[in-house]
Amino acid sequence: MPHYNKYFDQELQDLKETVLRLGGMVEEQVSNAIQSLMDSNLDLAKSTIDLDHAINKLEVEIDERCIDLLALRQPMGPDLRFVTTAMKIVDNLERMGDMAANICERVIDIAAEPRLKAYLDIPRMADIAKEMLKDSLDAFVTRSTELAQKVRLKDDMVDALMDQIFRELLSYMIEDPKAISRATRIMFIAKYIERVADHATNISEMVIYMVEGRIVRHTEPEALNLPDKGE
Amino acid sequence: MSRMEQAIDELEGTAVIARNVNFYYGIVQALFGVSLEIKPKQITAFIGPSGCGKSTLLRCFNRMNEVLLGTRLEGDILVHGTDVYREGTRLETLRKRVGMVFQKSNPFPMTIYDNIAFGPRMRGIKDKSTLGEVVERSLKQADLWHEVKDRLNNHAQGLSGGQQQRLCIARTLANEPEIILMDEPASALDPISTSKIEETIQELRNLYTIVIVTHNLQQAARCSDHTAFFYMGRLVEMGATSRIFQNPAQKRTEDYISGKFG
Ligand SMILES: Nc1ncnc2c1ncn2[C@@H]1O[C@H](COP(=O)(O)OP(=O)(O)OP(=O)(O)O)[C@@H](O)[C@H]1O
Ligand SMILES: [Mg+2]
Repeated sequence: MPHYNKYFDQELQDLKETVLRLGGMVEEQVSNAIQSLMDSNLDLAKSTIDLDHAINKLEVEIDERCIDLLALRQPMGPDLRFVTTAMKIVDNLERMGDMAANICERVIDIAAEPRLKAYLDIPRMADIAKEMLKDSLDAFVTRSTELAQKVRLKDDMVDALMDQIFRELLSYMIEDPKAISRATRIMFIAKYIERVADHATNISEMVIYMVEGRIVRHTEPEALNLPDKGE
Repeated sequence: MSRMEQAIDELEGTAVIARNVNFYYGIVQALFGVSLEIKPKQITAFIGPSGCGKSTLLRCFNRMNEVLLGTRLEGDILVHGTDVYREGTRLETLRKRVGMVFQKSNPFPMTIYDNIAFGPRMRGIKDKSTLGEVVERSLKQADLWHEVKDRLNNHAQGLSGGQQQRLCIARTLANEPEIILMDEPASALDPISTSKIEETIQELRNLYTIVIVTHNLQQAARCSDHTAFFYMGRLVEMGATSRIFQNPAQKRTEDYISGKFG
């Protein structure tokens, strides 16, 4: 439904598209970071680190735009919730960008040493985290609280995988103290991926606030009664 | 306390109750089945598009509509439990209990002092020092004392628009009302005078029950505890101001506060 002031409509639409552009950039950064790990691709790791500043720049730009909108348009009701949500979303996206860069730094650290083992659970966890990021942005665009709830539920899977990886790496370190420095870095990488999933969860929670006006942070996600539950 | 007494206590504890109010200007119906409660010693804002009946409902609270011929009200208006449309209600007493401040400030053509002392004198207060106390207290409550204390005998027309409006608030306060109705009290004022009026309103909170009609949504958001939204003579939604402006329950309210049409 349009506003009486069509320029306001346009500004809100522009804001949404810019948030999505930032989201797309972050998705790519996270993908490339994981890819650089799997392929031990140092060039990819370095170029990913270099691109982080573009994300930071766009995040600041969106933040300023939101503050302008708050000051000049004084949005109310759903518009107010949309603008404040956009601000929090870009904050979370920017942090995910940092996580991607951090992963790449650890990739560079361990490049000189032989591989510890096939990183089986890492890509599984990364796939889920990437999916959560994508779904949280889709939930934002389509205003789907159902999709947002799904993202929240997936966070538990990531936490479980994190535990698994942690235990496995610990056993390597106990068996072979020479593996400690590599294992620690892998542990960091797993932690960064887990953080990406956490930020995607935050975004989903903000989407629920944006759509329904209720704050669900720090509460348990409600189980979904959907036929494809647990997919 | 018996259940009956408790019920009466609750009625009296609510500053104004409107029950199923229909209001007619001749054959034109301006209000349709409006029911609501105004909480005592809090600030309630009425918002809604032009012609939705905000002023009409406000004027029902102190029977100000009856100045016009051919008006008719159905339903009940209770002020602290008393049905004000009951036969035998003294309009003078009612309008003293339920004071009103209008959009255009309307000081009487007399001195600042006499403007404020007018009501108390009508009530028979003659003692100079008592009158002086009422004038000072009312002007202080309306946040005007410091600006006019040295020129109380000057003509009220010499004050600025914002000062005149605060003078009118002080004049209302001098009548020691329980409820103050304000119909767009700041719509003709510049931003600084508007802020002053808003500050005054907030200082009067906890002392008086205030109902304010405003077209300025930010003003309603800034200075009220409860907000009621009206549309075409009907109450659409009433609730805590922060909820109404962040997450209204009704689509119509949402569209109105966010400036949408459809
Ligand atoms: N004196 C009157 N005679 C006839 N009809 C009237 C009179 N006063 C108001 N009305 C009608 O009653 C309806 C409600 O008017 P009211 O003044 O209460 O609206 P309002 O919400 O205060 O509008 P505004 O925001 O423009 O002040 C309108 O349709 C109006 O035309
Ligand atoms: Mg009016």
